Amino acid sequence: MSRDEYSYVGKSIPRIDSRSKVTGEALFTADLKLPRMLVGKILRSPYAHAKILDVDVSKALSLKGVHAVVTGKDTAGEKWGVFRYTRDQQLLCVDKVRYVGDEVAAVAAVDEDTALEALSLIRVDYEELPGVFDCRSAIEPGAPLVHEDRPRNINVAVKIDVGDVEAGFKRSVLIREDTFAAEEDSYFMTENYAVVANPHADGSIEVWMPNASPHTKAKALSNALKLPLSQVNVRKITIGGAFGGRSDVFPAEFIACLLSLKSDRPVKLVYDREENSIATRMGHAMITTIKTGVDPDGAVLARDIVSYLDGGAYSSTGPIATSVPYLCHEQAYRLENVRFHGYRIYTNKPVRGMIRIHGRSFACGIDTQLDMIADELGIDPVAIRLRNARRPGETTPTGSYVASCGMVECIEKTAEASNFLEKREKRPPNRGIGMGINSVQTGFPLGIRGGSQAFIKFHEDGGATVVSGVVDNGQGNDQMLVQIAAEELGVALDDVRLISADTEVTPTDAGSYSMISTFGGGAAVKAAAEDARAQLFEVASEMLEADPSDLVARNRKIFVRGAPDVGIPIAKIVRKALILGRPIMGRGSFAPDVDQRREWISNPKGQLSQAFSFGATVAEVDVDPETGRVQALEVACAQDCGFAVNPMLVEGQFEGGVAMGGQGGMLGEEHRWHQGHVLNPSLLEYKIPIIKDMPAITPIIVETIDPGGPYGAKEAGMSVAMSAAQAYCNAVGNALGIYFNHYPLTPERILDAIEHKKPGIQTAWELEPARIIKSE
Amino acid sequence: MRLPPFAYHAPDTLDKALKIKAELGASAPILAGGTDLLVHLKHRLASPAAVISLKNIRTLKGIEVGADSLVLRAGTPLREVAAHEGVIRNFPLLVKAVHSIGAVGIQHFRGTIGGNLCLTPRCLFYNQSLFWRTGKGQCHRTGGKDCLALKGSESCQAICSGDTVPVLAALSAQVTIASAGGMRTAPVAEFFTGKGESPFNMTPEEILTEIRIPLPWGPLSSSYQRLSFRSAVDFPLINAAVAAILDKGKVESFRLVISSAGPAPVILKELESAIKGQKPDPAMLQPVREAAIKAVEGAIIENASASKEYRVKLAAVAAVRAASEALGLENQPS
Ligand SMILES: Cc1cc2nc3c(=O)[nH]c(=O)nc-3n(C[C@H](O)[C@H](O)[C@H](O)COP(=O)(O)OP(=O)(O)OC[C@H]3O[C@@H](n4cnc5c(N)ncnc54)[C@H](O)[C@@H]3O)c2cc1C
Repeated sequence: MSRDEYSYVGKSIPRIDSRSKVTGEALFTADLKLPRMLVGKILRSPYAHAKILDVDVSKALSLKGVHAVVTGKDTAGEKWGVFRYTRDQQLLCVDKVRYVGDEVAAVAAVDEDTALEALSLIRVDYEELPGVFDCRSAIEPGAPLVHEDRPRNINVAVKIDVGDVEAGFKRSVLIREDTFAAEEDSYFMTENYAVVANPHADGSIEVWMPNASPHTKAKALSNALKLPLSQVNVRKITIGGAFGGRSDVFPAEFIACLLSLKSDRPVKLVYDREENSIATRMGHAMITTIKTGVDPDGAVLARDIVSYLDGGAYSSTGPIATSVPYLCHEQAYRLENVRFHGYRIYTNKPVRGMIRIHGRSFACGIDTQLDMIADELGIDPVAIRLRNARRPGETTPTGSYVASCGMVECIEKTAEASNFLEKREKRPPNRGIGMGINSVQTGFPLGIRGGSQAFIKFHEDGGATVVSGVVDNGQGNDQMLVQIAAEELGVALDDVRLISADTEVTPTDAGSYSMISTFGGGAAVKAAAEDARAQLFEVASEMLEADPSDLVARNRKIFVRGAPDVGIPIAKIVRKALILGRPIMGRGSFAPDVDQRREWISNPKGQLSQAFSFGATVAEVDVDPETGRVQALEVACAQDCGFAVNPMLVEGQFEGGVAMGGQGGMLGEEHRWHQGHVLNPSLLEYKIPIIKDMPAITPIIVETIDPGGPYGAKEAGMSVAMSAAQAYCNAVGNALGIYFNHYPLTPERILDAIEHKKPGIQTAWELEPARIIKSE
Repeated sequence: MRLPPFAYHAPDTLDKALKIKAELGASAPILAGGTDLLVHLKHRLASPAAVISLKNIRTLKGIEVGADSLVLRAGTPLREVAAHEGVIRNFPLLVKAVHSIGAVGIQHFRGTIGGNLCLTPRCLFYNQSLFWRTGKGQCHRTGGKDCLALKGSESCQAICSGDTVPVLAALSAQVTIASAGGMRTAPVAEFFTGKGESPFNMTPEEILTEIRIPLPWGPLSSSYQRLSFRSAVDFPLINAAVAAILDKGKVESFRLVISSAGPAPVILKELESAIKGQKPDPAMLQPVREAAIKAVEGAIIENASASKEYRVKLAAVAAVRAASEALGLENQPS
């Protein structure tokens, strides 16, 4: 069907939640108030690495107004990890603390002042231990160990080896090896983390918190609390952003539940900005060494990559986070011979998880080096990308078939919209233009099995309620589900009610990470609506004396194709179905076609995701050569999102992607450290971009209609976020004739590179390469 | 984050306020707009017994243009300063400085000019939460005897970060300070002690009441330059102001002040006599650059969101840009 034939999908329609957000009616977790609710607070380690000798809570317990205190003694060392083999984070520390912020004890009291006072009354005896604060020193033999059973602090080692890399290098006319580094970045989602736990007399517990998958949270809590899964009910709540930082499970939700069970009262625990920065997740710092061999036309013949990721104190999503930067790259570029060694290394720093720009040093390294190679060969950046870009119908090195792919179109369209080649030729001093391209997965397995399911029931007035496990954490998933349901059912948007992301009521869903909500959850709702519609058609066909296959549902009516005037209102059909004893109940599900045997470390081959999105960004910047400050002028970004269910929302995602990946991710966002202390945990000192500094953005939607996605939809926004980082990086480089290899490009780094500018085609800084770590 | 408990006074006259001040002194800080003070309280950098709000004292608000000076009362909202016709006409650099403060919300709803001048000096190791500071030891300002940013430093080296500070110093403004015992005045330049732990020449019993800027005695040519990562919601990494009188093609007076380096603004005095009486010339900029670097090298330490080395370079850039704008040398090669 073409876009014009749809009533709702493919149309730019304001979101169902925009009104409540704008008026402030939307309730977030921190807004919740329940009768008898207590305030919870967590006591955190002030040390980066220390033994816990003793925790004395007696004074806190005897303070008036304190209802519960919990420590590691209450949890018996219970641990969390995304995978069975990565369970290394104690929900409350028992024997030792591993980063500044590690959870040691918690209290629940009648109000915040009392809770704070109680915290100050808890005495913890620590014995400080030497810590490790960067990858290189952490892997030195003899370095302090973050986890005693992990030699050389290696948490995860991923190895991928496809084709014959050495033979590829032998055939190459040009080989480059360069090393790229990037510092830690953070999400700074608008909403700080918060959790409310509410225990019930029947033994069940209700929990609210910003999340990217209520079912994942419920499962982890059920395991840790030793409660049946059906008794841990994670509820729906408005969520103020995720960007990868809500995917994992945090000790805080477990602690809130423990406090509430112990006190037999609801407990609310709200993080301040600093806690949100240090005690949820942040992005990995990363060093990547890339060796690439090409033929005379710039086609890559072999690539060998080694990455070190600074993982912080615990595993979190370690195996995934270590693999994804490589995987994005193998999707974006054609490669036959490629090797990747990825090491995630423990340090005494906050825990690192998934983030929207996976591996700045990796992605930007690949594209910067490609520009260097193009320069050496006398090819332009567009041509070398086109030469290597992924095409549809191909298979990635680790065995994923790419059914739809608009990478070439994205490159061509951004180049054209930005007038790339001409601007690159003729540019004023200190102005530059650069291109980046990337690709992300549409769904990969993580924690929750299977795909997504949905139900639809009808009301007697013809309205419908959709029940889906998909969570909306700000991107507009709720709107997407409603648009799809209304489209398929032939009812108005206002007729559709949505119940979602509540583990007691809604069926399972993989979660809104890994970019699968539309592809998976949207498809399940579409299937449920199709099922309901088929039931409506059955009843209507008898009423209209027509064949069900000739019927159309639209404008709240069902009619014979071509005769909309003699249709029957859906409400009437719904009532008729009730009388006939055949009530309309739609059911649908979707499970992605992926290779279930694939595993991040033990078996990194097979179909990873059923679909992949592709994106290209071009950025044009001015650099102040005296201060190193960059002003972004114009950005053109294109992404193959399969099909834009709501173009306005897709464009919003693109713009957000440019802000987060390019403007913030490449120009300013990094954590600075003093040993294990984050120097900039606040919104003031961590330099997220502000609207005043944003460039003009031209979003370009590319649609390839994926055969597996609902209406052909895939993922929207992340390929832009990733490629924007690369584009900004190359643009600044182009402005100054410097190949940058340490990110983000803060004014300070830029000025340093200008002052130490080297002749020829080489990276700005000589960084020590990351090498394969030989296991002992 | 929670505020600590404190008694709240909102007297309606300056006399009443001064009386409370005389009694409570340092344990009762002044709350003007509160955009700096409240953050301090939340971080438990102070847990005072009481807070004295200026909001009901009408005589502490407003701007007057007299025969020879413009008077800004300390409690005047920033927005009013930037919108005042007399300020716009006489001191465009002050308007620019006020527009650089934080963001619209701070300028429009809360911040005052007095609060900006009295902004407590900032340090990356100090302006942090109580939790952050736990386990890091105490510094000169939190009851300790050392500096966390510069081990062994005799005193606190936190950064005087107010946007209007170099401007007011360059314009040779005077502050009026009141106590129960009376009034006194002092040049802005002497208002700063250079010690972060007690940054102002003001006793705990005193209140800043007004800032008096002499009206220029000739054609004022000025500039305000501030460098920061973002174009708003960012304290300056360095800022500089130049106020010069340019008459008949000659520099009749010249004052360059660099701030956001150390605990006090730095006045580049030696340049004043060197440039005075000369015709503006690009050759003046190299000495400006050198003087700026020399002046800030001793003042800047590793305690901000950029390195010392970088901030020193920025100081030279800001000083040269301010000088060249004020001297009309902008598009000439230096
Ligand atoms: C996010 C953010 C960004 C900011 N960015 C900037 C910036 O870019 N540039 C900048 O200059 N500032 C910035 N500020 C700091 C502050 O908002 C401004 O400096 C503002 O002008 C302070 O004025 P106030 O009236 O709110 O001060 P207050 O907080 O009321 O007072 C500040 C200090 O001065 C004392 N004080 C105030 N008035 C008097 C008086 N009359 N007599 C004696 N003592 C007094 C107070 O006791 C307090 O110690 C920022 C603040 C925030 C929160």
